[in-house]
Amino acid sequence: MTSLLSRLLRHPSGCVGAAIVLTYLLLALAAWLGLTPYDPLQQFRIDRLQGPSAAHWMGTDMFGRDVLSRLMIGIGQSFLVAFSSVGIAAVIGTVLGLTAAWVGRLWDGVVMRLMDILLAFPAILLALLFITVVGPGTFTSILAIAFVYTPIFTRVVRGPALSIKARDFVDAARTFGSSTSYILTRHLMLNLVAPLTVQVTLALAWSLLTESGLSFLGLGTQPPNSSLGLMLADSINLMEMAPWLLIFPGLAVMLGILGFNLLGDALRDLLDPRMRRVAS
Amino acid sequence: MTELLSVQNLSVGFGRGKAIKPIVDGVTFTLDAGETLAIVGESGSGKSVTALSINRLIDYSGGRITSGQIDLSLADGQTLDLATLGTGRMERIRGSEIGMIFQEPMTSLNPVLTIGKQIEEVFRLQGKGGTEARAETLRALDRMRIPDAARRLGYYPHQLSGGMLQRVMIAMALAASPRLLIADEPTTALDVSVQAQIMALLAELQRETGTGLIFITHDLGLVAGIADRVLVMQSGKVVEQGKADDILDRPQHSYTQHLLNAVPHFANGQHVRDDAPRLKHAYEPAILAVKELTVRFPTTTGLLRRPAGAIHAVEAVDFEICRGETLAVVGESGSGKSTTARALLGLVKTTRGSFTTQSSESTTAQKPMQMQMQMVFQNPYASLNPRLDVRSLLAEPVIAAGIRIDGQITSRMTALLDRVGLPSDSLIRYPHEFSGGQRQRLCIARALMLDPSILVLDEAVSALDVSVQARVLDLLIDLQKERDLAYLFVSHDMAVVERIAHRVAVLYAGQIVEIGDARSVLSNPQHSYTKKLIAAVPTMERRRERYQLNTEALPTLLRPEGFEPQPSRWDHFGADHRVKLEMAAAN
Repeated sequence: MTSLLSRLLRHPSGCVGAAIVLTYLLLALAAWLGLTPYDPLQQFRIDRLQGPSAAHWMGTDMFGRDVLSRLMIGIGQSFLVAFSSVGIAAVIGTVLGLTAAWVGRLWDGVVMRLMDILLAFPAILLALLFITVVGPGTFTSILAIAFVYTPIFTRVVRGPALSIKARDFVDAARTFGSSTSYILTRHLMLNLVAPLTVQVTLALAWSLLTESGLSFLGLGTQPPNSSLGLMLADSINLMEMAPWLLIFPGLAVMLGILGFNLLGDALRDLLDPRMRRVAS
Repeated sequence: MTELLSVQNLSVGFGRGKAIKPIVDGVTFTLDAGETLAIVGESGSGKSVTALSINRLIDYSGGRITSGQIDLSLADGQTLDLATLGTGRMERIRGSEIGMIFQEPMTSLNPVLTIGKQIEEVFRLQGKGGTEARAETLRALDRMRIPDAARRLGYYPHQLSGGMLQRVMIAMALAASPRLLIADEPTTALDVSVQAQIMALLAELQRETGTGLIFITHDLGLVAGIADRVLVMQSGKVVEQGKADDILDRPQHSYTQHLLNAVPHFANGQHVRDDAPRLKHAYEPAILAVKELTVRFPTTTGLLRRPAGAIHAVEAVDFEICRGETLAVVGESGSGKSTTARALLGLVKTTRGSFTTQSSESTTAQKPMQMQMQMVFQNPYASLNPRLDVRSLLAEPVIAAGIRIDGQITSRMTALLDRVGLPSDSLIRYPHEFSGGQRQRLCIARALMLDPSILVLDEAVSALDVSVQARVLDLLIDLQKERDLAYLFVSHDMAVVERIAHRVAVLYAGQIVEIGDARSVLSNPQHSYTKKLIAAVPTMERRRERYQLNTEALPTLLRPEGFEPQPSRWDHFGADHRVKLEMAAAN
């Protein structure tokens, strides 16, 4: 694991990606600990809609709230949703994909056709449908995004699992009489770590975007709480007057997605055994 | 004879700039028109790279010719140095002057185009039009002795067998009537009887067309059968070259001698082992007795999956193995030999029949079947989980048997690793740190962890280099003597079988057609199939032999539902040699 980290830092895009993600994580952590420059809900009535200044680095919004503080809280909120939704999707998707590949036959057919149906809808539409049924809020947007990304993990796991299942070492394990749980964990899961890691980083980027989209539409995080999508939604009417309200959250979303994508690409390269042979 | 190709001081490297890694170093040889040169060597010796340098395909796999000259004389008497030729000129040379056949016919053809279209393309490149190209294509396939050629033109690659596809590849390579043909292990992926066919075809075509042939192989038996001259390579250098008879009978270099002596060669049962346990003991109960083992795979047809019969992969197979004895199961691919092995280990469900194992020590409780019988697979790269270290790999059968890993087990691991000849620090290493031969030793050690009495070896040495193969075979023989192991040795390689087997069972279309003492079966085969199989094996004694062309296809194993074959009747030859009676009616 230490060697993977050091190789990641030597990988040009991996280094940048890791730095961005780490910065975001630190910002989110700081916000969670209350280390924002101001209380994100405090309203400076006199300083409404001020541009970036020494006192307010990213300016203030229409209620006179500090944009930087709200951005930090927003990043924390977006990360909370992204990580928990991707975590849920990864666990459920892996279990479904693994059992579909292992059991095969009817179970495989049922699971995969179900996933095909879910994949046929655009992600945001599916999430909208889910939220319409359950009602808006942070927790439902986590569930909705997990719901949308589960089929992707199921597919990502099932394909390699099928091919690993046919490898000789799984047959060898069967001849020893190894238990199914041993084969699934030691032989299949261990070999699925690489594709899963890559998929998790890429899904984090997409779920960050989906969360912003949902909040933008007013279906995710509810005011007065802050999230990147919500900040963008608040800014649209004031776009010409106070462009910083749009630019900073927009940049934050863009950079975050870029960071996860760069990290994902780097991990894909580094976890590929063929690349490793060249590197070492 | 006129000189066709002259290679001088050829050096080839991989990589860029200063980090260039030399693979071929100072190779020099010449080839006359109509002559066959065999380049012999193990993997990594640079034999394929040398061949790929001649038609400069090496440019596309990351290699670079660093020095040397490759002079090819053209039909008009001109001589060209291929080493420095421009890309455009080289492409024309490749199409018209140099043909190439690769090892894997299955992957060398485009799966979505009919073979007719693919051959036709070569003629179109020569500027021939529609009907003319089609007529030429048909003639080319006819020349390959492909039966019913006109109909086969519309076939896709997956509809043809490996041997047929290799013929198509040869047809494509020869379509432009090249003056030089390079064959890179053209028969390694094929069965021995198909190999004989391809070799016969190559020799015959060469006589007809006067093409120069460079034949790359690791099999010295094949060299004896086809080559005029031999070039032996080791780690990128030519260690010896000369006339085939000189090299094979009076090798000068120690590496050539090693290849000739250490590597198994088929000798018609003259070199079988003489420590057969059946000779020593008057009577000993068999440790593995297989009775009427039958494996059928049901097939279905149509949307509703109605049963449409079954593939009779293994049909009523009977045999017994004693303690300390090797029974070799031989046959072509599709004969059911691997299925038999896998059925014994429970990897394939048996349809009928039984097999029993027996401990000789009545004092200890009978071990479960799983602990008595272990398997070693063909491909050592696929049979070890790349993400587990050696300790976890060796622990797996122990854990599966419900035994706790303690100090005793760990010391057993180190003792076994030491016994199979692996370094003592292996326990914490991962499979990718080992070579193919070492991995197979690891697999053997893993199979021995529970101290089984029977090892099933499914083509266990087939994926290894020839001299590594010989050493692993020696290890297996030593282990057998030490531990009184019974081996079920599945192989298609008769030379290997001759080295390790006490008894041989010949499988054809899922049934045993001949079984008995190895010497008797190999030197005096009785069944017509066994005779054909043994006649196809290349040997050192048969030089420049003309194999007979045979286009018979393997019979289908698909039988209608409820079909029961007639029980076999057997003829006995000597003390331990049974042959299935051949019936006049189609079976």
